[in-house]
Amino acid sequence: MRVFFKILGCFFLIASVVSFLYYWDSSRIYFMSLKSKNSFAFGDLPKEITDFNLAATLHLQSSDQVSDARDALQQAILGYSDLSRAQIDAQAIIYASGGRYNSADCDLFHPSANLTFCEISHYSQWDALQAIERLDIVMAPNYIPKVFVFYPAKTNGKLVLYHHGYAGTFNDQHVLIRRLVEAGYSVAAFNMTGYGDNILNRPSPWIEAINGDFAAIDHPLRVFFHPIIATMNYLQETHGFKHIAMMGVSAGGWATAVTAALDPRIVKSYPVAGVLPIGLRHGDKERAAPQYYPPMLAAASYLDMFVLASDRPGRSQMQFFNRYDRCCFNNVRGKLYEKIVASHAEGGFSVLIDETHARHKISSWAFDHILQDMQR
Amino acid sequence: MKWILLFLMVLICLSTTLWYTDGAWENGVMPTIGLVKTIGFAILSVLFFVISSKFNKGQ
Repeated sequence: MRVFFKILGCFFLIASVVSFLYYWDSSRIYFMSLKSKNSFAFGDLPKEITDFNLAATLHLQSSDQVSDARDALQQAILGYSDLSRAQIDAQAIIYASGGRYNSADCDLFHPSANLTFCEISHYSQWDALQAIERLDIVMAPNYIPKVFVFYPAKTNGKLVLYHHGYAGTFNDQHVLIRRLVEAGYSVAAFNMTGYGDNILNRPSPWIEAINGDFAAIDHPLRVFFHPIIATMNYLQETHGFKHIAMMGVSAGGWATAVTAALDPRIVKSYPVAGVLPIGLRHGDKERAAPQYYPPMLAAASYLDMFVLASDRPGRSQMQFFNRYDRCCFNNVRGKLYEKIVASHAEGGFSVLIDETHARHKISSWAFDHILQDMQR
Repeated sequence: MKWILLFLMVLICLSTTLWYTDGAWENGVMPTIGLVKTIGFAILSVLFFVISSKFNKGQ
């Protein structure tokens, strides 16, 4: 019996050590490299990618073309070029520091208003937070995306738009949002269409369009970008923000890159593990239908969009890729076009490869770089 | 036995420190699930080693 329990003790000792090594970012990279299914992230890039003629996909050759290209992109995605048209339809302060919130207000993530699971009960513990405001944008038919704005107690007068990608909500990134609020930034947090409080019920042409049936509704990509433009309009009108930065992870990184190309008010943009030129993509997870919307790509290629996002001195884009990402947008593909875009951009353009982990996330390493760059 | 318990204590402290210093969350350098599994298995290991030592004393 004594030996039996000793064997059990040894078994769980080994399990504990293996768990530690498997989950700790530094040793996890090695664990993941042992899995053949991740070989693309760990091996050399295939020839069809390294030999792809990227320069041929960059059509913006001079600054004179920037304005027309942006207009064309706005028309293709939004169906309008007058961005001031985008307005929010309702707003409400759902939490104020020192005040009370009730279950009816507690619709962050859980419309059933169960305070036990209410995200506001966590945010209310932040000393640096003054208020949370909810913005509603009505998009016919039957879709009301919601945006949540976190206002700091001591503001530095700057606004950050955070866009979360698929498979989760911005609540998963509460540590990063908290760090931004503590640094004095106001943060407008967006969930992806159909996630969190952005409820979409079938049948809906928006769902059809997101799944690739673009004929289901006019300008289907409005569903992603109209709420962002409307939020910027509202926050500039009410708070006068002049410095606007945007960051996002995964599909939120794609939204960040495209929004920065669409709207020159975004002075700094940080797409993380979410966007690559079409010719460099690999695997199904990098082939979401909206990212291949033909009118958008006819108006501007992804390299054009990167140039549009950094089209003048004072504007810049810093892209991040997780070298060993378990999901997608991994390896060092971003480095293949860094010099091409930087040579055509009059602002700043750079690509950073994060080698500190093997996950699909914004790491502390990447976030520290973003914070440093925003404070310059 | 003493060294094994000491080793497990160090492992628990190390994983907790990594978890806490990077924000104590799921997207940190030591995710919450990793912390829970590491500590859970370590506690089970200690438990079974202690039980086995009781058998020792009993004999």
